[in-house]
Amino acid sequence: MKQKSKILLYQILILFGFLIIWEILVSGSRTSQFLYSSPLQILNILIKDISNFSLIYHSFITFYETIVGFIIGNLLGISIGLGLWYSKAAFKIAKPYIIILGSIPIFAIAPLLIIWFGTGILSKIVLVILSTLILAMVQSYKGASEIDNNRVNMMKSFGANKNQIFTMLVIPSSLSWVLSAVKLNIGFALLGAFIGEFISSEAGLGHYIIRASGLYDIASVFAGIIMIALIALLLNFCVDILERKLTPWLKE
Amino acid sequence: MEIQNLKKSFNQNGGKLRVLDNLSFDVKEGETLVLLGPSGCGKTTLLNILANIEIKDEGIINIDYSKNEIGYMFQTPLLFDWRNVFSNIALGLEIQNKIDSHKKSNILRLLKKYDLEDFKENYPKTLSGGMKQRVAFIRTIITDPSILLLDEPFSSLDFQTKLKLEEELFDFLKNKKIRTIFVTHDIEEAIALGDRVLVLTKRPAKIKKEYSIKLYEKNPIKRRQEPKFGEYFKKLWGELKDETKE
Ligand SMILES: Nc1ncnc2c1ncn2[C@@H]1O[C@H](COP(=O)(O)OP(=O)(O)OP(=O)(O)O)[C@@H](O)[C@H]1O
Ligand SMILES: [Mg+2]
Repeated sequence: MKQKSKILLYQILILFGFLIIWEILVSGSRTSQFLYSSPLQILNILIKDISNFSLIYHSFITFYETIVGFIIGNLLGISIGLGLWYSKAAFKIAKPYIIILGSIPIFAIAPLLIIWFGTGILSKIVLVILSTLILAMVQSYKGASEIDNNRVNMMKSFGANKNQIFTMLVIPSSLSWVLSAVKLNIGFALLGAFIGEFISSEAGLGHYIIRASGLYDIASVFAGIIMIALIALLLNFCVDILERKLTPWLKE
Repeated sequence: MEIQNLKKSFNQNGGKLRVLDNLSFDVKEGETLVLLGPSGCGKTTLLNILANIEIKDEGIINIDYSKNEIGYMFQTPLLFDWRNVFSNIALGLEIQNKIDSHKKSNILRLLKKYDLEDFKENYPKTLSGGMKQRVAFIRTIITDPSILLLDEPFSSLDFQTKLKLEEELFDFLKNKKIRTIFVTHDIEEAIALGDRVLVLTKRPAKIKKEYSIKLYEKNPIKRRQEPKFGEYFKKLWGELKDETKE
């Protein structure tokens, strides 16, 4: 515990040191303040835009797109990935398509999705789903295919059928693979939502940041980035809790 | 229980790898039959076939697999990391849909008997090798098998633990009608536990010789102290050493 609070103290010190140096470096020149903004300016914007709810609104939109797409993308990817355990042949057939889908930059598909699904929230959710699906699927399949054949045999010796092997062995033993994919997907989900908003949207942090940068309002750009980071932190926190709930045997 | 003319080969590197060559033997009620064979001769393959995990090529096995008569214990404990000791033991019962309050109290009774009571909620990673193998043993016997297949279950343990578990196995089996097939490459273990020992040749496994072990003692530790134990050892070693040569 003592160690933990020490670490936290250092983390806070580093942050404040960074902010103070930033503030000092830009305080002498108006041009620097214009180009790089300053912690105090950003704080002002944060207070202003949070109290008039605009930043909260945009954050909520982005959060909503991200979380909905994230959940659907992960669940779909995990189900398909684990489900492919039932049939090696199905995986072999699907493999080239998975590789192709996985290697297309999401940026390239984004305009299509906006044409098909509109400039609203739906196209962003679809983008987030596509951004998270492949990784969840590939990792889950990997986890499912690495299960120990001796344990399968042990279950078979009790007369286990394929569904029992799937639920009692494949799912729990793939969990650490699945969870590591889910964690990585937090970043990909936010990226997907942001790209969608960046290309075309009426709301969301991507929209907020693009508009601000168009006006050279650097402080607002930073305020938007801070909100994205907060969303990422929140999602990380949730996934950590989920991980601890799902894998109690892994804790020290 | 009878096995007749069992044959098995695997496809390997484009050719056929013959593993079991015309094996015939029987196991009587309450008998412990030891199959003693060199490493890689096909012992595990044989047990896998008997447990209905692997498919035989030819031969007759009169086991009714619909009755879940088989208890199979492997060389390693194969516990599930995410299940505690209690639910690891309950795995087979869950698979066979046989878990009820009677069985649960049975598990508790066995945990007590095998000194695992305080560990029933522990995850496997906190157990020693011997404890894990005991958990695996209870998992195997809790489904009340009438045929017990044991694949070198103690070979990964240190000598003292191995003796202790051998004795526990013996205590469990005595006065029961269970038919036990115990597979090993350890000559001492074969004599200590077997009512009968079949010596297998190197791959493809055939039955080379059959010995009935006639010792006064039944207990595996006391058996080791009998003078005749050494005689059996010499004989079996004589049979086995030819099979160990390449
Ligand atoms: N599924 C399989 N496919 C191909 N070959 C196999 C397969 N399973 C076993 N074999 C081969 O069959 C032979 C016998 O293997 P098995 O595991 O039955 O031997 P064993 O007597 O149990 O050996 P050990 O004493 O080392 O446990 C080995 O040469 C092995 O490589
Ligand atoms: Mg073996």
